[in-house]
Amino acid sequence: MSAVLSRLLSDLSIAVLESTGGRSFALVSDIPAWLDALWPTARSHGEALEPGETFLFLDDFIDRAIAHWEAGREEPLVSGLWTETRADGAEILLEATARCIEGRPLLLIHIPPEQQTRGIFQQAREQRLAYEHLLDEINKREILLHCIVHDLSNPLAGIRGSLKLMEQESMVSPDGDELLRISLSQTEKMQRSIRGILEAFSVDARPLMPSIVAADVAPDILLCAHQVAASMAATAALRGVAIQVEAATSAGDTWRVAGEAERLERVFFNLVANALRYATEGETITLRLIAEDAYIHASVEDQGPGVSDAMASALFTRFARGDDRPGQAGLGLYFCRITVEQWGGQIGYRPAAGGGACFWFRVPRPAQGLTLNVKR
Amino acid sequence: MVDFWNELFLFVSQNATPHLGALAFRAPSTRIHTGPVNPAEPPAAEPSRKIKRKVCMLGTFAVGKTSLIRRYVRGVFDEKYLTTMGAKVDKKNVRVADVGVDLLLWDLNGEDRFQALSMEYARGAAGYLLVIDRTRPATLEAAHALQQKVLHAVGPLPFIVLVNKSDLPGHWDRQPGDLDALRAGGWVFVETSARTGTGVDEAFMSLASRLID
Repeated sequence: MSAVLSRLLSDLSIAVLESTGGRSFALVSDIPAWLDALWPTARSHGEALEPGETFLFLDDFIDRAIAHWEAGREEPLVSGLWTETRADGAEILLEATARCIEGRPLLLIHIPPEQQTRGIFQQAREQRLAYEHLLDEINKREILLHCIVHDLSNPLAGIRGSLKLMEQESMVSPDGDELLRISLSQTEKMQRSIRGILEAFSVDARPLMPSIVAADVAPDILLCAHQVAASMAATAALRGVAIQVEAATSAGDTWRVAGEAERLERVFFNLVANALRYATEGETITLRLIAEDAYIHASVEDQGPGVSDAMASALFTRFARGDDRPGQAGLGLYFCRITVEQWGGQIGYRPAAGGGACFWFRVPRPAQGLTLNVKR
Repeated sequence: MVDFWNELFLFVSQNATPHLGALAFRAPSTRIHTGPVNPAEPPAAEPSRKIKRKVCMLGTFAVGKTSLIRRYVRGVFDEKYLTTMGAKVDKKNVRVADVGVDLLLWDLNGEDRFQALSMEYARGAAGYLLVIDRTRPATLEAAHALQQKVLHAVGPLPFIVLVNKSDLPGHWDRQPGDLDALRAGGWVFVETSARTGTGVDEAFMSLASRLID
């Protein structure tokens, strides 16, 4: 090998060894710096270098290389990556290639390009570990939350049952009636909160994949809006607030959407309840539906004070709530978002045209003619 | 649901005697020399023969393969995680009964979405240690996939599953069926901690004792 070529290979961090029989080799190129650091005595061995003794990984590969040379194969045989540790503790990534050129069995050892990218692998795996750890922590907290909620739920049902019985059997004096009514109302509120928490977390735990719902069993969103409006009309009337449903209907329109009736009702319920909290006497809450090509657009509009800019960006996050709404868990709108997104829809907020708040969502119409993976 | 680890270690303790299956762990009946020689004892006789055995360490990333080898060969532990690329080979001479065994320990890169594991590295192995992290349930699934890969590429070899990081708190909930399926495949689990050294020598020596012809 010419001196120039030998120097060039060394500059490229490639060491070239030639087999001198058996497992012995002679170095036929200049010694690259990395080899000097790992094998300082290599230059004094002449033609009796035994790289397999120093680099245990090569001990294995040399067997394969010998078989490769003896078979007269000309294509290169590559060892795969391996790591050696220098005396100072630094790790060097290496790779060997066996070639037979003009009858000369050669073993090339070099630093592969992966040496430069190993930092990226290190970082990627560290981040992956951190991510797994975070998921684990979230999981633990949610399990804890479920346990707490369930532990509250059962005694609460017992208390509520007892209070109901007292009410039915007229077991309290007329003076106690008011206290009984308050107790019942408070327990009902607590049960609703627990249900809300459970729903929010159970939905969150599922993968956010759009549901595929058959057209013939998909809920009718217009019917749903009317049902929720009717069920909340009495409560609204007590505050002097009206609830109305408006739908831009034309002949042949269908109002079925890809979702579940019960959850859809809950989405409307949460949005209307939210509007009702801010409504004052004489105002109207409007549930508006607009049929689009592939979606139904729904909105709940009120004439209240609206939402501040600061609050608007966090409305649909978990535990978000207005400063002036003590007692709310901040899960209602979060539940709405998770649910609507799970169905492949979107949800948002904008100020209503005439003042007040407009919470809107759009959900896709059901898939037509699907026969696979269809929920019925 | 059952506590996976309670059942796992109960299973291990119940299987300290010969177990079913060609790949099962058998507690060595031969005398194993691992520690330093007691000066009061007469020096051990020369081994009747010397053999070399290649042992691979397999498992997904960051389960502690490198740390287990460092603990076993050098008796040290480093908290810092340094990912392995390709293979890193170390050697340890042990004695199993009257046989001197050169264990060539191949620490192989963990397989994940960033890096595949070439089965070329496993060629010529006499056995392997499959490492899982007791704090990360998914490492068991990864180990199962690797075991199948090895089985397909190099055939049935003796192996032991090291349940590493036993010094850390961890809790898996598993359906009993999960373990039954692994048992049926001859899986045997040994609890280890590279940090404290618990079970490390025993695990390597248990495998070494199975690699004597």
